[in-house]
Amino acid sequence: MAARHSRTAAVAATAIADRRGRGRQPIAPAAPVAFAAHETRRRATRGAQPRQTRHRAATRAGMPRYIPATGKEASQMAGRAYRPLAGVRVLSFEIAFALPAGTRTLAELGADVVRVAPPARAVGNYIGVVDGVFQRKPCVSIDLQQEQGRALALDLALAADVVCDNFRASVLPKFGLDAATLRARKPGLIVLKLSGYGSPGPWSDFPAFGPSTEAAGGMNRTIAGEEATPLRVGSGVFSDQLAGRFAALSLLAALHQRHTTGQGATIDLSMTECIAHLIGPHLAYAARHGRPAPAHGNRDRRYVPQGVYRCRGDDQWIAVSVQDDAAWARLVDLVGEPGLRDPALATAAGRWDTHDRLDALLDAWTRGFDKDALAARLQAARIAAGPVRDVRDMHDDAQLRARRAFSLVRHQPPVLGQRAHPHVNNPWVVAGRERLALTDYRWNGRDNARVLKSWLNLGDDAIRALAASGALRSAGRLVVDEPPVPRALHDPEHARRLQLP
Amino acid sequence: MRVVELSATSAGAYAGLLLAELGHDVVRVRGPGIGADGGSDRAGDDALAASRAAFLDRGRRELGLDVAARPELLVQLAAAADVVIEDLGSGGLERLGIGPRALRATPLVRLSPFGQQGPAADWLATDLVVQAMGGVLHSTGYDGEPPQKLPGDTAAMLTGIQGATAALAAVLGVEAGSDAARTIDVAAQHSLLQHWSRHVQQYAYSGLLMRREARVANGVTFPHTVLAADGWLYLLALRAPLDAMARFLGIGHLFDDAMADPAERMRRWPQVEPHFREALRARGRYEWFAAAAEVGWTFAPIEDAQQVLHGPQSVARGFVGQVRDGGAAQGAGGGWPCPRLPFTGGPRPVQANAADEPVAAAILREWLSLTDEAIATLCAAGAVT
Repeated sequence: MAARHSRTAAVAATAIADRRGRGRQPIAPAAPVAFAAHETRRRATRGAQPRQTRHRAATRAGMPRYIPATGKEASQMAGRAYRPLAGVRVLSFEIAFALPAGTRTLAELGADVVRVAPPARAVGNYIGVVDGVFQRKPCVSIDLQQEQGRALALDLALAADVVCDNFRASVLPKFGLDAATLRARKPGLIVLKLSGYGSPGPWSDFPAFGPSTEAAGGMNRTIAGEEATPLRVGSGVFSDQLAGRFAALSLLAALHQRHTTGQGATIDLSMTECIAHLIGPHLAYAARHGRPAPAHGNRDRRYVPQGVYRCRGDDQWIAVSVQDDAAWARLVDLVGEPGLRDPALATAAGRWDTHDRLDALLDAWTRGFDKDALAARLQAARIAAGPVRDVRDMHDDAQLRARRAFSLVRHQPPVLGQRAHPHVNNPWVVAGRERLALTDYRWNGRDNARVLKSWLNLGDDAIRALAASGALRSAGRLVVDEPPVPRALHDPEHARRLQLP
Repeated sequence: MRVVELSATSAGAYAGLLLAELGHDVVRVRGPGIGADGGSDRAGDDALAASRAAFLDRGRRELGLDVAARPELLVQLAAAADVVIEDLGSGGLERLGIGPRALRATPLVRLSPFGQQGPAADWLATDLVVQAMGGVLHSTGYDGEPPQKLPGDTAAMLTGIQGATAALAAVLGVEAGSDAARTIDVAAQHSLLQHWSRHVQQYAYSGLLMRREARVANGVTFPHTVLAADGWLYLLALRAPLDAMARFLGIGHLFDDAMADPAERMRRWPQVEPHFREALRARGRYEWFAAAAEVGWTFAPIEDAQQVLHGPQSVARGFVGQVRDGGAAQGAGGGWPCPRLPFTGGPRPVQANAADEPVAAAILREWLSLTDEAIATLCAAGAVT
């Protein structure tokens, strides 16, 4: 405690000197706070302007679109990459999306993540390549039906810090790779199992996809409300990605605990419970009031009106939230519609009662505008608004480009005629650091020799013997068969639009 | 692990809650400029806002602090912590008068809608605006109708998960000596982008555009959301032939060879649909769920919040605990059922709501080793509450 206190005092002294001393100017009141309604009010009364011009300039300036995968800049970046999990070994028996998304995060933080795949002659995996959740992971292919294969998998597991899987509950125990067996051999091991419904329980071994866990976890009913037909999330991978986020969180927590206490952990993660926890405030409402919370769709009693309104173009929209009465007054001035000047609308309560009419008036006004131009105009008037991004303009978003939210992943050989594609990366920007480059999908068994040498110190002869026995397999090639794309849903200009190499 | 939480939105609050439920010592600092002066986007007097607060404001001690009057106290608390999490927006911490070098000894995790830097860093945002600019909004709803928002503060809470993870990574990096980060800047927009990445990537690879689904199924595929005998059921059987599905549902006799042709299915669907819906109403949703699982299909019950809390899987896993929070309590035992962390593996307590008892003295004594006299002076001056 004494050490803590002295460090505290020293840093505090520095801070105060920094703020007050040596003739420095007080820190200028800077940017308005997004998310916080009080800043809307403060900025509005000061008449401050947002940096709209800077936003436009960045769009024009030819800012690098993607983090490069190769070349001088990429190698310089690698040297400055953030690697808090350097030295951590993760062995992952993973398929589909959820667990791979979580372990990719660990790989992006510097962990050595190895994916274990089943034996296959050739791998046809369009969605696996496209999803990108297997990137930065070498791949070994082991036949667990063979005794030698099981022994090899056990050796790899015992060489790891973390072992995880997202097969059905009954799969890995058949091969002697369950948590109890592994941790009996290595108590400090961290073992994570991810599944749709978790274990134990009557649904433990039921198969699941992300959307089915969204339904079971309460999301679909919460979006739509009690009276309407439930509505599913259209993303297709929302729950998968969420479970991946919680998997990464639980593993970081376990690694921190192990560092502190030396103890391992056995973690069982339920995708359905991840959804339920995310809508925890709605569960709390139901628990406290004995009935589900009312659903307001795009509306919110805190921000009235709030909605998604049509803009110029096919399926183009803008989201608008009026955070307080002053913002409403500014919006009324912008729209210029006499019907909006009704004094009864000056308060949020008054506006809530006539939300349908306001939505109709605003929708009639917004539909003549380009969504980006209108969002910039509303933000300039200190009204919270944003364009509804779609798959085409996501890559053009100036803020995401400034954050370098996409990394370019090189393919060898080319995939679907392109040498590289952009992929969404970890949404953290670490001061003074770069993100680790994303490396391409590795197909089954592609890294058998490299991993076995590195993790188990096996020599070439031993590796050849394992391959000869069939315990260790390697797929000859990767086949990426593109599913048919309906003409009505195909943009033939996508490669040019995204400036793919 | 000691954590200082400076939160004005659900992002920082959820990060703080997650870390507290993982067993860490989280002190939530409140005061002018930090969510306690009407500046919280979680303000509001409706019942849902109260439930949001009941869920998010659990598990950690709160310290009232007038940072403008005594900035050094916040700096001391930060220095005594292993990590600081804040969601005060772009430049929000600086506006509290905390010098940029003040927190260097302690990793700082900054959560905001768009990030600390960049052309839109200063844009005003609500959860709807972030969901829009993160793109996930565009995928949900029906074709031809406005895209539909995910409920509550989904974007902020997803950012909170990232914040808790970043905090653990930062502390582990320092303690293990593997790497030390000073500041980790997490943007909600960028976080949301991950949650519909499949659509974004399919456009990049194949030029595949995305339309929201039609409101009415036409028989080319079955409706995926239907009523069973006792509630809603989700039908997802990827790669299952429709005739096999029809046989499973007991209407196989309506699917002759001609129905393999999508055009013919569309033509006949108005006649088939009543039989389809009647067949599903013959069994309960859990019964269908179990039967489908036996043949490897991923049906699922579509549960509401009450059903999630009291469903058989939640009960078997002990997912729900009891929280006591005085007057708002509903249950006979004086508590309300509250979800635990969505993973087992260690103690899984349900943290109670912040107690009303004075904790400022205890925090200042434990964290800063202040004497009782010094604490009394600070309290008397109104600097801490």
